[in-house]
Amino acid sequence: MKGHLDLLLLSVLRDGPAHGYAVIARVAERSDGHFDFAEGTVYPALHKLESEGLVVSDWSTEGGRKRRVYALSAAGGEALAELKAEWTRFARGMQAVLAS
Amino acid sequence: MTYDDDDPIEAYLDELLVHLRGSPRHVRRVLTETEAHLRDALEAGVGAPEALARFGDAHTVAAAANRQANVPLPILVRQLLLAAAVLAAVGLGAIGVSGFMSAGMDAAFGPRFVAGDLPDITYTPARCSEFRVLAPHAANCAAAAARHHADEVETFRITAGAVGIAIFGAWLALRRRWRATPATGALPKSLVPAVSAAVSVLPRSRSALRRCSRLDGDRPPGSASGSAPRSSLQC
Repeated sequence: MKGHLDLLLLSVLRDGPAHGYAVIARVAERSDGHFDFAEGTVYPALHKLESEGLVVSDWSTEGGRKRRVYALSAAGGEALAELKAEWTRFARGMQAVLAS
Repeated sequence: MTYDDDDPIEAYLDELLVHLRGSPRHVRRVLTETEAHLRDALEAGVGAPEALARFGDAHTVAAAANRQANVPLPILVRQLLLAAAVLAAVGLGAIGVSGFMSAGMDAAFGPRFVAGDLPDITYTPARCSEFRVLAPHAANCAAAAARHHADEVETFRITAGAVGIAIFGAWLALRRRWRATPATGALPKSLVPAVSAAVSVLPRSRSALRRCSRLDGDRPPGSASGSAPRSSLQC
């Protein structure tokens, strides 16, 4: 799970910019609640992706509350495609081994 | 100003702040995002205890955030310098205080009380002559040696105290000058207390070990080499 958090975050940001709470909600919704992690550790992961140039962020104020909104950068889109291909190869290999 | 002590989110943010490290901007960002997240969870109908449990304990979250803190090297160096300066100032200041105490004891009880030699210490005639020159009013060689050594103890220690005061002044000035680029806890919180403890304990341990080894060699005449030393209990 830990090693795949970047892929999950980039993947849900492909749907459009979102603040941290919405990003986590998207992951929970898409995984049908399967992924269980400390929500507070998602923010450092987003910060890391931002420092790597894979996401960009900016402050916005909604309902009087200040939030940091994250969006996928062009480099993030490319990284997502690579990570996704890597994961697909890995999953296919695992599936083949488990099925045999 | 009033504080809502019963708000678990405020309490959580306080705890998180204590554990966070890095630039003020990084710390503020983590706290703002955390509060927004937790308030969003409450608005979504999640209870505060569950929202906090899902977010993770403050120590774990802070540890993850601190890995992204990236404290710039100049700030780290400044914090190290400030920590070293305050350690040196306090240490030298304490030595200075001991110098004044030695001077007080010298005045009250005489130089032998401060720097008198052990009974078995003797000096060569040449060394005695040197002491006589340094302490011409002393009655004998032992008194001259005690006078000279007491003067050394007091002078060196009080000088160390003066250097400590100067370093303390420099520390105040540097702290004011570098206030524009602070970093919250750029150094691990336990670093300065740990170094302070090591600096104060290690020299004592070394001198105690030296004393023990000296006492260990002080065996009763004729005793076997493997027998217990006479004064081993004094270690």
